[in-house]
Amino acid sequence: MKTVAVLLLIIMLLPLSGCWDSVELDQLALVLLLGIDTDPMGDGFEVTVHVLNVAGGTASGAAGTGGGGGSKNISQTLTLSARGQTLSDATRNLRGRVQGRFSFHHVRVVLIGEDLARKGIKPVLDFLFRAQEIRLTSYLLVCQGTAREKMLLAPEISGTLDEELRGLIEMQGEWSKAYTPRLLEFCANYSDSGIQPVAGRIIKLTYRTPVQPDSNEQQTKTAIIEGLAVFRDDQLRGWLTGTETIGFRYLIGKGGTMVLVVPWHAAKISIELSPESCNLQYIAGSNPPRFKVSLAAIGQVMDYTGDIEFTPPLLAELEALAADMLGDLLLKTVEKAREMETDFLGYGSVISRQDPRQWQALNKKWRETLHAVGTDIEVKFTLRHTGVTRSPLTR
Amino acid sequence: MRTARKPRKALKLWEKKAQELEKQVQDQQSPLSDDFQANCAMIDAVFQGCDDISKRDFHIAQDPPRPARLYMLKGTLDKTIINDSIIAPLTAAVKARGAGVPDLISAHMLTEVATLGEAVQEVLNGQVLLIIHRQARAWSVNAKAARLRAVAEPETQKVVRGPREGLIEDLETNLTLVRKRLKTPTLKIDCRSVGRRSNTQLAILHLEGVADPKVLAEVHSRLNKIDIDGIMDSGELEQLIEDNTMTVFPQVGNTERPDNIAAALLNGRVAILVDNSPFALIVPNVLTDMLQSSDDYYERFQFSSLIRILRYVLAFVALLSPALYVAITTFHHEMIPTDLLTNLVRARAGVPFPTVIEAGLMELAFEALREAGLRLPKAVGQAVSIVGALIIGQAAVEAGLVSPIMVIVVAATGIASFTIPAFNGAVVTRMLKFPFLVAAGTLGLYGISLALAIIIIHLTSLRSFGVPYLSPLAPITISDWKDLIVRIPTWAMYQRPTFIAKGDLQRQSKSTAGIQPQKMK
Repeated sequence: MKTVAVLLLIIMLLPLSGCWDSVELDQLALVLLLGIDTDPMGDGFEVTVHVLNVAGGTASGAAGTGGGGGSKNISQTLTLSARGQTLSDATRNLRGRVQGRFSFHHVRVVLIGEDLARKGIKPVLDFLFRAQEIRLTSYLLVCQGTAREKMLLAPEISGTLDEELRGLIEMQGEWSKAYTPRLLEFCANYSDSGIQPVAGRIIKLTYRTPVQPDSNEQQTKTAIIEGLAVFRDDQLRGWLTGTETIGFRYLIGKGGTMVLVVPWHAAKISIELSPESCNLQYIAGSNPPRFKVSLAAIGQVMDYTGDIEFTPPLLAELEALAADMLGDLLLKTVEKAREMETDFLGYGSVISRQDPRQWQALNKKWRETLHAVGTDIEVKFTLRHTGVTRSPLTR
Repeated sequence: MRTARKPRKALKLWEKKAQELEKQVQDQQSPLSDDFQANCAMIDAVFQGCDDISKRDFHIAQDPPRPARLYMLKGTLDKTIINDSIIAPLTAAVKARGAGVPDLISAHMLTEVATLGEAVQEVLNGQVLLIIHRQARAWSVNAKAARLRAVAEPETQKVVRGPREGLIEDLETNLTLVRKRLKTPTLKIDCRSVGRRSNTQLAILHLEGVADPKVLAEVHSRLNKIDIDGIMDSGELEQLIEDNTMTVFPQVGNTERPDNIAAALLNGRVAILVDNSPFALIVPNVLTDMLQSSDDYYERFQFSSLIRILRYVLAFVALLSPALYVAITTFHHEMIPTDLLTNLVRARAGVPFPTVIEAGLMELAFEALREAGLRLPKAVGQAVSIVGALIIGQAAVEAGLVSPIMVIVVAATGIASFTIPAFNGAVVTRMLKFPFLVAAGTLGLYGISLALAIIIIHLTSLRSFGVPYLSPLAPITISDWKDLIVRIPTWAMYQRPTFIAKGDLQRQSKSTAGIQPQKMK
C-alpha cells in the first residue's frame, strides 16, 4: 500500500513542473535570418530578423510594423526590425511585435551592415558569442549597404532568403570567388594576433529581366555573395574582389575549383583548376620576413575558342602559362594584403608557429613590418586531360 | 486493516472446502475390491449425473462366463477398436484358462488400474475401462479416436523459411512433434497433471546433461506448488510459475512452433507443454529472446544479422518514437534541422491540442483499432480497418485535430511494434510507450532518459528461473554475444549459450568448425 501511494505521489508530482519550458511548435517565432545595423536615428543598433510565417506559402508577406514590411514576393517569412541601445535591448524590443516565443537557434546566417562593420563589430561579436541560442556554426556575412536593405530582397529560387544564402554559401567551392567563414572561425581569428578575420561579402545586384517577351522590362534585385570583407581587428578595412578571393582561398589552403581563362594567341582556353596542396612557409631567419608559397594544382581543359589540336608539347606550354597566371593571381592578393596593411592571410601565425621567438619580436610592430614582407610564389601545375576529346569537332 | 481481515476469513472457508474435496479423492484412492458388483456400484456412484459416460455389459466367454463391464466416454472413442479388439476377443470362444486379460485384448495400449480414483480418472482421460468379475483390478485400454485439429501452420510466429508445422491442442501430438525432432533418449519428458478439477495434462521437457538441473528443479518445485481448480491454457500456467508478476516484462517465453521448442531444448532450456494449448512455455526466457525468430537460424547469417539489428532499432522506435517526437518538438527545437522544423511548424499550425495530448490521442486510437481488428469477425474486420485507416489517416488531419506528422509517428510506432517476433515482447513496447509519453511531455528528453534509467534498473532486478533477465548483456558473457545482436555463421556457433546450458556445452566439434571456412583449392 505504502509503495503504491508513494508511486502515485511521484506520478502526481510530474505534471507539477507544468512543462515550464515547453513551447508548442505553433507558438514558436522562428528567426531564420538575423541582420544587424547601426541605428539610423541614434547611436544604438537596429536588428532586423526574418521570422517564419506559419501560414507560409499562401499569405502575402504582411508588413512588420517597425521594419517597413516584407516585399510582395516574400511570403514564407516576415521581416521585422527594432531598434535598441544595445543588441539585447533591440532584440527584446522585437518581442512586442510578434506573438509567440522568439527562437534564435535556427539562425544560420548573420548579416552585418557596412556602417556597423566600419564602426567596429566588437559588441556584435560579444552578443553573438555570449548568447546561448546563437550557433557558432552560423555564417557571417557583411553587406555592402545595410543589412536591412538586403533582407528585403526577395529570394529567387528558394522559399526563403536564408535558405538561398545558405545554398550560395555552401556551393562557393565551385567557383572560389567567395568565401564565408563561420562565426566560430571569425571569432577565433579575431582573437588571434597573427591573423585578421574576414567575412563573406553580400552585394545587391540589380538586373533587368523581361517577364514576357513583349512586355516591358522589369527591374529585379537580388542578393549575391561574392568577394570578401577584410577586417582589421573588429573594423571593416576593405573589400576583396572575386578574383582576389580566389587568391585568398588558395593561399589559406581552402581553395575550391576555379576556371582560369588562358589567352592563347587569338583564342581563349579555359582550364578548370583545383588545388592539390598549398604550403605557406616562412623562410627561417629572413628579416624582413620572406615567405615561400608552394602551390600544386591540377586541371583540365574545359573549352576553348579557336581551332587547335592539343599535342603534348602544346600542353606543356599551356601548363607553364597557366602556372604563371595562377602565380600572378596569388601575388595580387598578397599585394592587396600589403596595401591594406592587414594580415588576413595569416603570415603572423605562420611565423609564430615556425619561429615563436621571432614572432614575439615582430608582433608589436607587425602592421608596420607588413609592407616589407616578401613572398615568393612557386606554382606547379599539371594538366590532367583535355576533356573527353583531343581534337575539336570538324566538318 | 479491515480489508486484510476479510480475505483471511474467505481463505478459511476455501480451505475447508478443499479439505472436503481432498477427502473425497482419498476415498477414491481406496483399492478396487474383487467384488464386481461393488466396484461397479462405486464407479456408477462417482459418475452419477455424468450422462456422457456410457457403459457396456458383456460376459467373457469362459467357463463359467464371467460378467465384465466397459466404461467409456462417449464420442472420443474409436468404435472399431472397442468392437474388434476388446469385445470381440473377450466374447469369442476363448477357453484357454491360462490366458489373462492382457493376452486377449489386442489393443496397443493396456494398463492395469488398481484404485478407484485411477479408474475414474482413466475414464475421464478418454480411455476405455474394463472391469471383470472377481478381479481386484481394472484395465484401461487406449481406444482414442483421432479427433484433432490438423497440424497446421502457426498463426502467430510466421517464418518465411522453416517448417510449417505448429502445435495443436493435443498434448500427445505435440510431444510427437518435438520427439520427431530430437530422437534421443536424453530428451526426457515428465508428464503430470495440474488442476484439481481440470486434471490438465502437462509435460516438462528437457535434455539431460544440457539443461541446467537447477532450472529444472525450480520448474518442478514451482509446478508442485500449484493448487488450482483448473487451467485452460498454458498462459495461465505461465502466470502461476513466473518469477515476478508485478512487471510488464514476460519472464516465460512461449512458442507455437515445435522446431522452436527443439532448438530451445538444444540450448539447454526447459519446455512445458500443456494439454489443450497450442502454446508451449519455454524457460528461462531473457529479454533479448523476444527479438529472435527461428528463421534467423534458417536464413543465411548476413541477412539474419541485418534483420536482427533492424529489430533492435525498431524495438526502440516502437517504444520511444512518440515520446521522442513530443520531447524534441516541445522542448528541444534546436535539435531539429531548420528545414524540417519549418515544415513541422507549418504542419502543426492550427492543431488545438498540445503535442503530448495529440500523441496520446492518436496512440490510443491506434491501439483501439488494433484491438477492434483482433476481435471482429473476419468479414467485418476489413471494413473496420479501412474506416479506421481513413479516420486516423486522413479525416483527423483534414479536420485539424492532429498534424500529419503525428500520423507518420504513430504509423511508425505501429509498424515497428509488429516487427518484434514475440507477441509478448511487442506488448511490452505497446504498454511502455505511454509512460514514456508522459515523461516526455512533462520533462522532455530528460524525462525520457529518466524513464529509461528506471526501466533498465528494473530489468536488472528481474530473473527468469534464476537466470538474470538481461543476460548475456548483464552479467556480460561475451561468448554468448555470437547470437545476440548479430548471428554469426552457423559453423562458428559451436557452443551452446553458456548462460543457459550447463554440462555439455559443445554443439559442434571445434575441428568441424575449423574446416568449414577453408577455401577450395
